[in-house]
Amino acid sequence: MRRVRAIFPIALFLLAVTANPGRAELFVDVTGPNFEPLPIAITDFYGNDEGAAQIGRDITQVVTANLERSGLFKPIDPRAFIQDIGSLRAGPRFGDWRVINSDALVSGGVELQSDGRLRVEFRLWDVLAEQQMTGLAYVSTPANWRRVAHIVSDAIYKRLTGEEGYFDTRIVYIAESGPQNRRVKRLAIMDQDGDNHSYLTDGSTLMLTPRFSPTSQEITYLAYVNDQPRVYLLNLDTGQQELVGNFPGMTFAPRFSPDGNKIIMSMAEGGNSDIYTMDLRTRQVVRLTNDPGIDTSASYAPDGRQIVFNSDRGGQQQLYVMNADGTNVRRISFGEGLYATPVWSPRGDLIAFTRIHQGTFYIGVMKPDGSGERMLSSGFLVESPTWAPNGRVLSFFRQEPSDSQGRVRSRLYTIDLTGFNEREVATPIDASDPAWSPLIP
Amino acid sequence: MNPVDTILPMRTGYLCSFALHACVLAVAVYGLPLFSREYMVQPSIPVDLVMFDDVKEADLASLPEISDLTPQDRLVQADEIAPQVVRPNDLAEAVEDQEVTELDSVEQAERPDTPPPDSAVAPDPSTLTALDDLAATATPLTPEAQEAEAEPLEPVEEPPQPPLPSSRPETLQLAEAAEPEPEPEPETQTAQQVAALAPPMPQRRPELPQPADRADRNEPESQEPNRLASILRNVQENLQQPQARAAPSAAQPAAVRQGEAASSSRLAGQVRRQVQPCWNFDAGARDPASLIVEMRVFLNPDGSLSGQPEILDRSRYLSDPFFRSAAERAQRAVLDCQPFNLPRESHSLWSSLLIRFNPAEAF
Repeated sequence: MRRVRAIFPIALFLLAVTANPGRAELFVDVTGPNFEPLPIAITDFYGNDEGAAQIGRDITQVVTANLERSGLFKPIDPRAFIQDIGSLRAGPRFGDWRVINSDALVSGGVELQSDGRLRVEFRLWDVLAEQQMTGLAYVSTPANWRRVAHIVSDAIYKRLTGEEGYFDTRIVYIAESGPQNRRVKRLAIMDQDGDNHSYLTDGSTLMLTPRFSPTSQEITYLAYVNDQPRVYLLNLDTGQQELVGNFPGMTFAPRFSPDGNKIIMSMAEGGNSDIYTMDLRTRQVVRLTNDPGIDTSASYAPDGRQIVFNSDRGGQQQLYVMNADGTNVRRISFGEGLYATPVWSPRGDLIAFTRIHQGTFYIGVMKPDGSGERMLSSGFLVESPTWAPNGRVLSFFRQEPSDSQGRVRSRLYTIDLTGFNEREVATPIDASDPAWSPLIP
Repeated sequence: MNPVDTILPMRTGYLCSFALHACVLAVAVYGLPLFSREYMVQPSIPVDLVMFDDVKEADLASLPEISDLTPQDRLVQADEIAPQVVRPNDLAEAVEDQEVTELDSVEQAERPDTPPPDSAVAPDPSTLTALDDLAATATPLTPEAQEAEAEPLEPVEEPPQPPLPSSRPETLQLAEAAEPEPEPEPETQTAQQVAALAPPMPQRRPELPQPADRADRNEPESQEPNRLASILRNVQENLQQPQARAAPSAAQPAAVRQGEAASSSRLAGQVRRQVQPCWNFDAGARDPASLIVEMRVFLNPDGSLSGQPEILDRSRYLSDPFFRSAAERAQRAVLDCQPFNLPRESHSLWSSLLIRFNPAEAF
C-alpha cells in the first residue's frame, strides 16, 4: 500500500510530461519547389504631359528589359492589362491584376518639374497580399532618365529576390576587328544592357584583360607599348592614365583587391611566373608565391582574406586557394583538364573559372572548398568569366571556330549562376575579355 | 528499522505533500480553470514600423495613413530609407528643396560620354596624358538616390475583387525539362467522396488501394530526378552532382505512416498537394538549402484564408533579405492556391496549419 502511494506521484509526473496539450494544429511539410520566373506587370510610368509620358514609357521599357533579361522575372504582356494607367494613379484594383496572374505590379509616375529637373517615382505592389512592397522617388536631370531606370530596376530586383541589384553597372571589354593575323583591339565600355557604347582607345596599342576596380571608376589593363607588356591604370572619370609600374618581366592578369588599394598580378622571370601584389598608394610590391610552377591569374575573395589562382605546380594547371599573405596554399580543383582564370564571386560563395578538356572549353563554377563543381557553358572557345557585382550573373566571351575565309566571330554572353538564361550581349563588333563594373555610386 | 515505522508517524505530512504535488501536476496538465486556452485565431494587430530618425518632417505626410490599412495588412515591414550620403553642395540644395517632399537630387550622372572613335587618343605611357575626349566631357559622378515614399494615394474606391478560383498555368521549369505530372486531383476527390459516404473508421480500407496508385505514378515521377538535377545546371554530365536523392518520395504525401491518425495525415497530404504547384523558389539564392520557411495559416471552413499567413521566424525575416524573399514566395504560394479543397466536416482538424516550405532536398 505504501509503495502504491510512493509511485503515484511518479506516475502523475510521467503522465504530465507525456500528455499532449492538444494544440489542434496540422503540420504540413511542403517540398519540391518549382522554379518559375516571377510574373510581374510593369505599367507605363504616368506622365502628365507628352514629354513626361514619353520618358515614362522609355523608363518602363528599360525596366522591363532589365528584369526580363535577368531570367528571374516574366513581365506580362501589356496588352493583357485590365486596369488603365489613369485609374492606377488612385491605387491598384488588385483583382484586375490577379486575374491576369500577376504576382507583382509596378506603377510609377514621371514629372518634368518647373526647375527643369526630372522626378521619377514608382511603387512596387504585392498583388496577392494586396499591399505596397516599396515606394521610392528620384530626382535628376531629364537626360539621365536611363540611369534612373536602371536604379529603379535594381530596387525592384532587390526587393523581390533579396539579391543586390546589378543593372546600374557597366561592362568594359576589348572590341576586336580585323582578320585573325592582324587583329585590332580597342578598349570599349557600355552599360550592362549594351547601351551607351563608346570606345576608349583607338586600337593602335594592343590591349588585354581589362579589370574594374571594386570601389572607384578605374580599370587596369595590360597594354603592349613598343612590344613591352605593361599594366596601366585608367580613371574613367578623368580619363587619366598611368603606368602601374615598370617591371622587368612580363606582367599579365592584374586585378584589384576588394578595398581597391592594391592590385594583384603575375610577373614572369626566366620562364617562372609568380604572384605579386602592389599597393597603389605606396607602390610597394610584395611577392606571394615562390615556386617553380607557373602561378597566375589571381583573384581576391570579397573579404580580402583569401586568394584563388591557378598553378601548374602539381603537374597540371589547377586551382589553388591561399591566404592573402601567401600562406596555406591548398589545391581545390581535382577534375580532368586544365583550370584557369579563376574569379571569386562578390557574393563569396562561388569561384568561376575556365576549363579546357579534350578540346572543349567550359565556363564553370565551384564552391571555394572545391565542391559542387558545375559547368555552366561550353563551346569551341569560351573564356574569361567576370561576375556582376551581386555575384549572381556571369559574363564571358565565346569565340566560334574560324570560317572558310578565316574570319572568327567573338561575342560577349551573360549567364545566371544556375546555368540558365545564357544570352548574347549586343556589341557593335566582335568582343572579348569582359569586365563588369561595381554598382555605379 | 522497518520502513513502515518511519513513514507512519509522518503520514499527515506525506498526505499533504502528495496532495500539493498532485495539484501542481494537474495545473501543469490542464491549466488553471480561470484562463481559457485559446491558441488559435488570434489575429495580431497590424503594426506599421517606420524609422522616424530617417524620415524628415515632410516625409510624414507621404506615409500611408494608418486608417487606410485594412486588417488584412499584416507583415507591414519597416520602410527602409537609405542612409543619406550628403555632400556639401547637395546639402545646400537639400535646404532649398524642402518643399519638394522627399529628396536630394540624383546628381547628374554624366558618364564620360561617347567620344567619336577617331578622336580617341592612344595611351602614351611616357607622359600622363589624359584621353582628351574623356576629360572634356566627364564630370564627377555624384549621384544620390534618396529613397522616400511618394504622396499618399487616395483611398481605393473599389472593394477588393473576390479572388477568382485560381487556375494556375502549368508550371514550366526554368530548364527545358519534362513538365511535372498533373497533380492527383482525382485522388483527392475520390477520397473526399469516400469520406462523405463512410464513417471515420472504415475510411482506412479505401486507402489501401492508394499505395498501388502511387506506385503507378512512380514511373512518371522517375522524371523528377532529371528535373531537379538540372536545377543547378551542369553542362557536363560526367562531373559529380549531388543527385536528387529521395526526390520522388519527397513529392509524395507521407501519409502512409503506420499508427498515425489517417485523417490528419491525409489532410496534410491534401494541403501539400494543393500548395506545392503554387510554390516557386529561386534556385540561385545564397545557400538555398537553408531557406526553410515555416508559417502559420488559418483557414475558414470553406478553405479560404482567414487573415494573412504568419511567418514564424520574424527576426530572420527582418534581417536576412534572402530569407524574406523566400518567405514571401512561400506566402504567395498559400495566397495563390487558396481556397483549399478540404473536407468541411473535419474543419477543426485543419483550421490551423503549420506549413513548412523546405527546399533542401532539391539541392
